[in-house]
Amino acid sequence: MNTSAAGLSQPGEEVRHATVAVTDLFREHHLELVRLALVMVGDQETAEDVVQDAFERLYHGWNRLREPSSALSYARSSVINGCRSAMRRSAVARKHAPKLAGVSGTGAVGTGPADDHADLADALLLLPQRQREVLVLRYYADLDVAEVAATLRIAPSAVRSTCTRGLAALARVLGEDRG
Amino acid sequence: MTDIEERLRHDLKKRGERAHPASIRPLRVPPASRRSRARYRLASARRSKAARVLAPATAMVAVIAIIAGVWMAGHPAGKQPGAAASSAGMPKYYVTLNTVLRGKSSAPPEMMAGVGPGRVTAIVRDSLTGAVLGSVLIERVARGEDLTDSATWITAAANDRVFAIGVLSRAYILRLQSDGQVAGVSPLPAAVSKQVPGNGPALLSPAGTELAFRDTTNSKVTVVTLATGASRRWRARPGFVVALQWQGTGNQVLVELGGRQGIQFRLLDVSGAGGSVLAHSRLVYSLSSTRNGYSVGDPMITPSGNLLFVARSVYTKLGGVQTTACRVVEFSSDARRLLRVLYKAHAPSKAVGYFPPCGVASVGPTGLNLLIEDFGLGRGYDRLDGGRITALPGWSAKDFDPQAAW
Repeated sequence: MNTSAAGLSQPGEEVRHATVAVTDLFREHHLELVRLALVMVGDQETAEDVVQDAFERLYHGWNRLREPSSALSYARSSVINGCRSAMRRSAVARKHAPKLAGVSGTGAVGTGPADDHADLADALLLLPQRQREVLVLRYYADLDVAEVAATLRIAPSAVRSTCTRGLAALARVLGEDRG
Repeated sequence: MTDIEERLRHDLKKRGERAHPASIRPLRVPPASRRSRARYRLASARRSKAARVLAPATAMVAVIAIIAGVWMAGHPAGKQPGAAASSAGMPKYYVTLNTVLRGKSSAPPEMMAGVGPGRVTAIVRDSLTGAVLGSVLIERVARGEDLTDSATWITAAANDRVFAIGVLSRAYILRLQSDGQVAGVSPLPAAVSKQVPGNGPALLSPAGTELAFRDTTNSKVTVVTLATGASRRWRARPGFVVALQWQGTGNQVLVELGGRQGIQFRLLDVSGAGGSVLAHSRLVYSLSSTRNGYSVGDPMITPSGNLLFVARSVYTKLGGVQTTACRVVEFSSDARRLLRVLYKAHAPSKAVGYFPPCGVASVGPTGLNLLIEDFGLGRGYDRLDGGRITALPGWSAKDFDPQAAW
């Protein structure tokens, strides 16, 4: 990407710059963001929708970005927010699913094709939203505490404590599973 | 790092890898649905009139711009596979098999639904207008030999004039005149017919002189010469044959091999006397593994040398509804990367264990025009011309066990 943001004056150039920048970001990080969303929501179709919305928002808000280098961070936050909304919607749908679909509600919840055994990624979906976000960013996206804190806009100490609580909750789930 | 941290990291990575590049759709234009329009209305309620009018348009322009950017970045000028594809090279005719059940089935009452004696007719239509150009009775099936939903198949040669048809365990050749009128139907010699598996399909070679098929155990690729009934066989060990497709002038067959090693697409040289698939083929592309509920099939190589296949994934949505996602994807042969998703559809399963038809039924001689099953959308067959989807005109999807080829 050779275009400099400082040299842009014409609206056409700004649009072109945003297109190039978002396209570059898309090519480099689309798969990574879809996977991040997938582990958050457990359903690929929803994950793809969330990432599409994130790129759309990024494109529109490109001129409002203080630092073009923070675009990935912005996109990641946007994906996390989108996942949060999707999970909220799916919780409502899950609540009404037995009535609407006439099923017992025992179907897999927001999962893709089933694996041979339940894993921690499934158990993660049972955790509170904040714990889930912190654990995914920490152990899937491999962000350090400061980066997780910046992405979720919470204090680093909150990241550490949420992470500890989340791991303890998963350990409990595992314990019950084994017991 | 503790045990649980290690395991969480591993399980999350594994879950993330379910999103395979081939299975992810490209960006799409936002749908002009009532819901999205309502969302835009709410969001723009406090904006100026101009902003209200422009908001949906700019959203659409934004996504189109990104799609165009991604597309241009991945496709240097002068090398855009399929970009020039249109109905220009499309076969002039397509043939459907119309099965009409008539009379009492010999099957037990609990199995009678959807089976029975009847007749199978081939109907020739103009590909552009759907007008019927001719029809011919292929076979009247008597009581005792019930037609089921997998009793017939049809494939086409590249010249658009010769079709191979299967009804139960018998095979026929249908020939057309240059104007699409039926020139004649003849049963294949018993020496050929008895080798073709009853559930087919047997693929007619580009010249219309040979049939290629996998045997009932999926362990061999067989090529039979129609004139003599002579056959050559290639064993597919280790692994098994998933799908076949003739390539080029008819000296090669693209074979999809499944097995513990994952999925391999190999170009098999069928000009020889037979032998081993591995020894007489070269690897085109391989997928190291596929997850549960994910499968690929109907491979073909486009005229520009790219690999195209259908990827299917089955997933369970909220409420336990099983859905199949079908995508026709194109991979570059040189860079080994996904070029584009030509088509994508989602179809819910009507019953537990039932999944809608999903695949490429026939490929036009130029390799650019595909006849695809509609993936359970209720339209029967569609045309896919280099990424553009068009409903196939002139026939009813309500037919029992519809089959089509061009």
